[in-house]
Amino acid sequence: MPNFLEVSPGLMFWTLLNFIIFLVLLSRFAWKPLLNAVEQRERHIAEALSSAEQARQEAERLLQEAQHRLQQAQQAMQHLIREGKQQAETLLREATERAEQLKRQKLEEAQNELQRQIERAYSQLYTEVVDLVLEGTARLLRQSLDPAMHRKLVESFLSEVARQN
Amino acid sequence: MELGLAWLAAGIGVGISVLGAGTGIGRLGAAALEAASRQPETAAETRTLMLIAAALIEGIALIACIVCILLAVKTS
Amino acid sequence: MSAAHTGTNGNVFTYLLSKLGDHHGFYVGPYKVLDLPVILWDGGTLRAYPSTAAMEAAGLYRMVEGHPVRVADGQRPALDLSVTNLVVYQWIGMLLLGVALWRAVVRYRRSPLRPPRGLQNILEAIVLFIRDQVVRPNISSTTLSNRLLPYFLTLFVFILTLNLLGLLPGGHTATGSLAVTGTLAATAFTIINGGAIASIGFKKWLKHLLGGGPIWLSPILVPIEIIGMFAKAFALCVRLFANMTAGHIALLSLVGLIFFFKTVLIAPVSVAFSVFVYFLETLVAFLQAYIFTILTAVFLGLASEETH
Repeated sequence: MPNFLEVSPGLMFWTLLNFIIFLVLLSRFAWKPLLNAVEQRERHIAEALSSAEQARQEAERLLQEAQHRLQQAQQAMQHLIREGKQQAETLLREATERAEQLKRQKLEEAQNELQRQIERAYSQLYTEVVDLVLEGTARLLRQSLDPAMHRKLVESFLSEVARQN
Repeated sequence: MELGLAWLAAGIGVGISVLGAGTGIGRLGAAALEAASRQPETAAETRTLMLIAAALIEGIALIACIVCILLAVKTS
Repeated sequence: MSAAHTGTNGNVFTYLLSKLGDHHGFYVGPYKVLDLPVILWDGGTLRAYPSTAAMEAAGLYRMVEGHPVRVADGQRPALDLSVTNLVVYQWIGMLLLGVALWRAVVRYRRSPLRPPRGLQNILEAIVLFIRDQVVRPNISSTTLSNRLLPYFLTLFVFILTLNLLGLLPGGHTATGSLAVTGTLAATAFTIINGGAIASIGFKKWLKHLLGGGPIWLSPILVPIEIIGMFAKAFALCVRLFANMTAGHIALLSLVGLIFFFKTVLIAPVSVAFSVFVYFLETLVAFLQAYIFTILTAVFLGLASEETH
């Protein structure tokens, strides 16, 4: 029997003793804390993962909400701008219109006034000219003609003048 | 003479046991590879099962080898 | 075999083989570096000597072929409980593992939630591997697997450390001895059957002996199952021993070739193959620790099943 095939009872005894002592010591002082620590870490990691997932979902929700709000705000802003522009345009148009109208009205009034002045001037001139002519003619002719006749004559002359003008 | 026969027996015996174990492990490996390539998702499980089966085959072969060694170191 | 120990010529291999196995005294490689106590239980008395030399000087026993024998009749003592080489290697392994585990535990105590580093990382990987890949998938009962987890962890690291110690230059492989693997297999046998009985009760455990067959087949099946029970443990023992020894024998044979052919030209071949075998042995060291552990778990799982 070669050496390495021998089964020595002494070695068996020592191996059993060693193994049992080792088993007891390790289970008590090594495996228990190690396994506990590993399990604790696993739990911790699982919790961290689930809370991270929750946080991610929450963040996503918040982001969507923020985007939604931003969109709403942009829409409102654009609406406001459009409205403001419209209002401004309307105001401008109205102001322009009113100014135009006012201008026209003033112009018209001014023209009317002018016309009226001219007419009055004309009629005054007319009367004065008629009077002057009458006086002059009367002085010239000295009662040769009655005033009514006289007047008719001058007026026909004057209208002739006016027509020539 | 007797010693010579013992050595001869050891040599032949170890050859035959190696033949058997080799065939067994070869077939096992082929089957395991096939299973792993058919279903790669269970490859880990297949590997474990293959190792266990291989160990069982190997155990038989090793027992045969021990017998052969006992024959080979026969001194009387 | 005594004449073969001279180490000449064709007996090189036999000489090298004698370097395997157990010795009185602490050896590094082939060199004895320390005397170890010899403890003998013989004839109802326990005798202890500090070394083999002291034993021989005392005059009652002398060393023959590496074993103490009685001077009077040349017989071996009833029980040789000496602290031998492989016992010391077991102690070394236990010491190394104990220190490594202690450091890991201290670090866990200090900061349990920090990610592990270095050695602690390896130990944690081993713990998680044994728990999640070996014990839990094979043992369906959660209480049983939780209670026996320390046993499987200890078994794995014990075998692994002893295997790896044997691969260190000069190291001797404690698991390369039938006594050591036989003892480990005996604990596995105890755990398998004790765990099954504790888990499913004695009656159901007895039912397993029927092998699931009908009652009239029991005269055939019960002996087969009982033999199978022991064969499983025996195979565990022999598998580990043979795997650890086979690699060493292969290495020794390759080195022996140089002396066998008496030429230096064979040395490169020997060395190249030795390196290859060495790598293979490293793989085997891990694999066999794993196989021993997982087979124990599988057998326990089978024995503690409640299907029938």
